Amino acid sequence: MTDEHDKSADGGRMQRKKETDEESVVEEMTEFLEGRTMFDGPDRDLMLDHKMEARSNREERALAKLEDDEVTRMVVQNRLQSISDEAMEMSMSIAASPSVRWGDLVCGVMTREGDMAVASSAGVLLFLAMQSAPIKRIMRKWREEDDYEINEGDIFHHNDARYGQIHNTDLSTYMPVFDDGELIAWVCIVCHEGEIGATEAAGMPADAESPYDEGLKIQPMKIGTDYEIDEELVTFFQNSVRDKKMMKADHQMRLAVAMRMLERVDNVIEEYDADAIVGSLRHSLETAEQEARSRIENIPDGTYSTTNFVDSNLKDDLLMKVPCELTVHGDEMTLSFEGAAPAFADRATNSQLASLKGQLVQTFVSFLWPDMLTSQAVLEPINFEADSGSIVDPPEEVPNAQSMQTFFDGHAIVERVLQFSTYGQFVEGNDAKMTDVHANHYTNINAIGYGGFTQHGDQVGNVLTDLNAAPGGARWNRDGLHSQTSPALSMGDTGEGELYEEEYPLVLFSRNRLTTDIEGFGKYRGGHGHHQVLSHKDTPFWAWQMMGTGSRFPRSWGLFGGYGGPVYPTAKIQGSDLFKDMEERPEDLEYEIQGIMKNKPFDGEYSTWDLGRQTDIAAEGEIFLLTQGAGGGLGDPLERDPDAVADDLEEGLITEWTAENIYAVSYDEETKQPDEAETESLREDEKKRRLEEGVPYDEFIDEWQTESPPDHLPYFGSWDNKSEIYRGPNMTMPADSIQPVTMNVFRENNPELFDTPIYPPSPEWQGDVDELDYEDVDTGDHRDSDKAGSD
Amino acid sequence: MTETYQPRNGVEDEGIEADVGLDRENVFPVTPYLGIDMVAELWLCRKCGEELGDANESYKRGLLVNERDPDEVHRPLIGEEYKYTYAPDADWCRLLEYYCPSCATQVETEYLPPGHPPANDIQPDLDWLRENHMEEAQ
Repeated sequence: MTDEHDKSADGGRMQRKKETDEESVVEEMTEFLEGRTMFDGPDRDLMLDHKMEARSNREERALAKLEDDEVTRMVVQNRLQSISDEAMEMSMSIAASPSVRWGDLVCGVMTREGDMAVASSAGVLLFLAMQSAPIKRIMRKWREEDDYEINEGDIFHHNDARYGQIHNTDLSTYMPVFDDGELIAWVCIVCHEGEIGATEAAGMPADAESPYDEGLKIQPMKIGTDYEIDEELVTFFQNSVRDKKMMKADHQMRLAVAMRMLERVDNVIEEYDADAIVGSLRHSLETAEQEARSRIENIPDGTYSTTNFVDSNLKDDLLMKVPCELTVHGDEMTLSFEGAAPAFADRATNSQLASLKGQLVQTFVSFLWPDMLTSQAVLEPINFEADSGSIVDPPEEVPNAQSMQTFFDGHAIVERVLQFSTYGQFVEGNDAKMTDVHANHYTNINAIGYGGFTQHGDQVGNVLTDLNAAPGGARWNRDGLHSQTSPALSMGDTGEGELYEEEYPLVLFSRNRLTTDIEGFGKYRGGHGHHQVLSHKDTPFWAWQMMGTGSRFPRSWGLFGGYGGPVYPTAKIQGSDLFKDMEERPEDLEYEIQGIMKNKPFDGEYSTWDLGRQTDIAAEGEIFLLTQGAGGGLGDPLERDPDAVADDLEEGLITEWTAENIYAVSYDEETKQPDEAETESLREDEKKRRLEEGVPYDEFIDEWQTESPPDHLPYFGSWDNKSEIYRGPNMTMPADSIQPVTMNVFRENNPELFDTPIYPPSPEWQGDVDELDYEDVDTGDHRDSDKAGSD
Repeated sequence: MTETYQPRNGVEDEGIEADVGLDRENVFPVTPYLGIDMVAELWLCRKCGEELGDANESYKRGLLVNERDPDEVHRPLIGEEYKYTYAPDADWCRLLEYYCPSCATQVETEYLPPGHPPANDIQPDLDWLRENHMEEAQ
């Protein structure tokens, strides 16, 4: 018994020891596994949180000090604004990237905790709104990791949209502001650079079918100390991109600008003190929030809805729903994008929700309340709802280089519901302080990208800055502006054609003509966009890329009875030789897009394509054409002043067809002056036609409305129930468990839904500079032939 | 026009409000062409005063709808021989025009895929309007 007992006791001890050993191993393993992060990836919670940090004790003290010194606060606030504006000007003067030179950037000052408090008056406000998450990430690492340091002179950088950017062609530099060893703020510059080593050269690859096709992606990281960039890192970055000179030059440019901002902020600290900076930044945020709440409180409570239908993801013609429902309650708003199309696993138009929110900072501050402080706090009273897995809140493992093709629709629909909700109070005294009531600004950037070798032998890739000139929508009391500004960018420029041609092998044959008949018709008409007819020469290799959506379904709608703009093709004249035709028969040529496409003055094969065209390798002299869009119209077109119609006719903005058929204006054939009585009669006839053709709403709905999308439509998104998401006309998934759609597979399984190919097949794009023979480059008469091939 | 209306930004022009025919204190101007009679809780045409139905429901229910081929308005600008012509694809997109059944004013337009439910795009809270607008009007 004893032995048995002992054995039993031994067995028990052994069992306990075994259990203890196992527990210990589990503990060790757990500690090992939990202590090692295999991938320090994006933080979804941080990215989804757009609210500013709570007021800190430090900020409390600084504000208390400024409470009785309004003058100092206002002076410092204005100094910070001037510092940001000066930085923007400085960047544009010294940047290598043509996008930056013509305004595609922003500079500003963030609080110590990373909230956007001051932004340059011009530029891409949304870029700066996107810098909050990366700075907050850095601050968290600093607090949580013993060996992570932030010191005076450190240089931080990132470009990956999943950590806070709209796409990775935008590169940021931010540096901490120290005072006497205390970190008090950040200065920041963000630039749309262009070429970034993606599958396409322009930096926004519509051809990307995974995040790994989009080029260089850098998480928020320190790239330099003591005011010097780590050259090894820059070389690493350069090895991942084609335009190596721009990569280095603009890293230096952004550093120079950030250092200038630091110098100026130091001057303010010397003149006043750090409290003045800390207090002013916090005051900017809190004031913006209070002001936004006060304005929202004056917008009628209620529900306002609209939807955009996006007709392409740039590789496939399809219809994606992007809806918006605005609920106003007291001093808060909720913007719901529930019911939107699912994300695409292998297409680049997915938009991070943070990117959409960033655009909406621009929407509110540039299009609604331009008198507000340029601060992210304008979104503080706004709540957002979106389906996880949808195209406006996609998972991280999907590409997003063309995110703006989706979040610009977010801008358009929010812009529209805000007009619905505010018109009444606007004409009743405007306590919500709307700057104006207007139909949709042109919703997109119809862009031409390029890539190849310049006449100087440099490898380049970028977009032409004509995208900075989207036209404005009609206002409540006047027409929209022509070729005004991008929905994402305040006061950008299209750039000087001559400078473009000097630096790049482009020939801008026709660039500044407004396109006839594209306005959103209305009592007040939308602005017209211009069109571009261009070619290239003096280069051994050149390719174009077209970017945009809206070739089948209009994206910019009218308002209050006005019409939206139409849809827009791109065009190409295959096999044309612009320079030969210019030399041999200049008198036969035309310069206006409609005349060119109708009359075919150039030799070659004429064709049109949708706006989403991937890289197309072009021969010298081949002609490409693109139209910028138009703003929406406002009010019933039959109410448009006949004299205004006559003026537009005289200026070539509209044709006689439009004057007669849309505006119902009768005019003298010779003088083009309107006939008042005849016009009145035409308009009465038109109203009679309306009453004859119109059907009572309920009767119409019985005939019109269907339970699901038509069988022929490649439709994505909800139909009449936002909890049910269609992927194609016959398949649904619940909104709370959306799976991204892999389009290459979907197309293979549903070929009958598509009437256009994925265009064009992926090009053999990775040219080897050593194999290119610059001796063969025809430099023409107007170039310095010594420059070609000098590298 | 209400008495509180002020021309803005130096534009000596009442804009689209100049053509409004209806001016009653109990009518809140929701759009240039639509108002809500706060007492009767009815949508009204601000051009002609026509009653357009219950203000707790979509204003569209009181209007006439005309479904049009979008290229009747946005016609092909470069001829019809090309795949993409500036005219919307009529198989994908239909244009709905909403008219006042009395004065035929075009109150709103909407671009929808065939069969897609139209939006109830403006539904203000009537209690809020009463509380904030009627007090001011009185």
